[in-house]
Amino acid sequence: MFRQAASRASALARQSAAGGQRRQMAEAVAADKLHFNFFLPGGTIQKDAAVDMVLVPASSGVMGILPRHAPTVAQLRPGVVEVHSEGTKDKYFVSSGFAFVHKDRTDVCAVAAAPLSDLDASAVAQGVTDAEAAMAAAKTDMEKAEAQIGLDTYTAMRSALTMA
Amino acid sequence: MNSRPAFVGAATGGFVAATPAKAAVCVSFNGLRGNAAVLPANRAASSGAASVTMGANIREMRERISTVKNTEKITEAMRLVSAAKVRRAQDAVLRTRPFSETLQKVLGGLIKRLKADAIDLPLLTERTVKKVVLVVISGDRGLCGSYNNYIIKKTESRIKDLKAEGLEVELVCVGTKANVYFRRRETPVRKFFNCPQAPSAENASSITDELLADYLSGEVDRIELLYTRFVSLISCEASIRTLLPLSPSGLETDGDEIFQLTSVGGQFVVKSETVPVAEPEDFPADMIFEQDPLQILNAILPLYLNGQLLRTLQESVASELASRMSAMSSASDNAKDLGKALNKEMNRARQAAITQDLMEIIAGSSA
Repeated sequence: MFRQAASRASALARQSAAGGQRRQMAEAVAADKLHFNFFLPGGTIQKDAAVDMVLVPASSGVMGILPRHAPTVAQLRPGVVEVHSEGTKDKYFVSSGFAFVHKDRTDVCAVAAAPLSDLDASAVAQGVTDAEAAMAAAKTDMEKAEAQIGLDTYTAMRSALTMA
Repeated sequence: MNSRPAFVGAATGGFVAATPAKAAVCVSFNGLRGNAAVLPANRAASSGAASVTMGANIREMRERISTVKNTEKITEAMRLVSAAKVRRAQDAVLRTRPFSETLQKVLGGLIKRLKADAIDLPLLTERTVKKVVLVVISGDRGLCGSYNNYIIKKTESRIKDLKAEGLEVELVCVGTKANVYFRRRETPVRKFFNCPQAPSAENASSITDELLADYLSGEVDRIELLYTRFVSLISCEASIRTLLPLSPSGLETDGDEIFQLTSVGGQFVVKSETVPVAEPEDFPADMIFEQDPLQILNAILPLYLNGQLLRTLQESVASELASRMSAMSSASDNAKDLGKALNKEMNRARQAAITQDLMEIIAGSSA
């Protein structure tokens, strides 16, 4: 309970601090909402949703997508996709995927995603230690690559949880 | 007579077992029909101890009738369970569509854009073929009619054709049935996977990882997929499709067919509608690519392949369920008919026994 309230308070603080610039842009496109789709291989999280803003963890950095964003194709790295709508923020941890911003809609296709609240901090910490051990024990290139991927994903999960 | 123990064993031993049980049921159905026909002849030949024998016969027949009724209940239940699973299978197909469609549109757009540069993409370029891998999708369990037979026959004919062209052939078997058939035959089986009842993206990706690794390493020059297309509840078609290399002209030239299991007038009916191929996305000239378009293309292709394999897995599972539905429905009908025939025989035997008793009493009293 406390953690939720604290996170919401910090989120609001962050929003209002950065809000100055964002509010200006929002006023310019006040009537528009972002037509948003969020697909997974096994199903759909959001379809034809009208949202205010989406933050995606592109491999070049966190990208904020507002209505009338320039058309973009971006590959995603392990991180958090935040969907801002009517003051609420839905956060999902994605393992990887793609974000396609078109003129009239935005599609995010993630290979695997889970609501951030579903992640268990202790399990993530365990995953980080396991991945580090696997990195140290890896001999072949294949094992090293797999261990590296595991480490990247678990570290991203850990930072996502600490920032939430 | 001697087929009866096998029959009773099959009925009480549960129907989840594979072919042996099915064979036993078939044999014993025929055996019972034969015995039922023989009974009247026995009746004519009996005397003296006839009433005792008659009693025993009637008891036997009553047992048989109850076994047949049990069988009918089991096969009917299996039919309904398969129908429920077909619904789930089609829901799963509908759920995976948005993801694959989005990827397909982007892929089409990227290829259109990159074709101008005549880029060499390993997964799209055709090579001189020396070795072909056939991925066969069959079922894990039996009692599904001729589903597994058809796909195995199709595979055998494809192997023959490829060998006639002088190509090396190896197999990847998804599903126990194909594996059991092929592992003791000439064509080597590279890898075996179980065919899950509800295929998921994880299942598909474990198979695609293997196939991609083999293809990209150069060990294999072409990968073909043999699966069963769902046409209707009673007919399924074994089909072949080339998985790798992806066809450069258009990733999918045939539209998707969505099947829907509904009921019309109390009967199960399958309605199918064709969904046209997803149009390749038209990228505006000022489209920003956060990474190199070629890099993005190479990253999307494995995901796209995954989606393709998942769809064929789901379709094959749906075909297996439909075959099982129709096989179990024939079995239920046969059991019903057999029950009726046995009932008639039993009544006749019972009446004959009563008549015999009466005649003996009359003869005894008149003497």
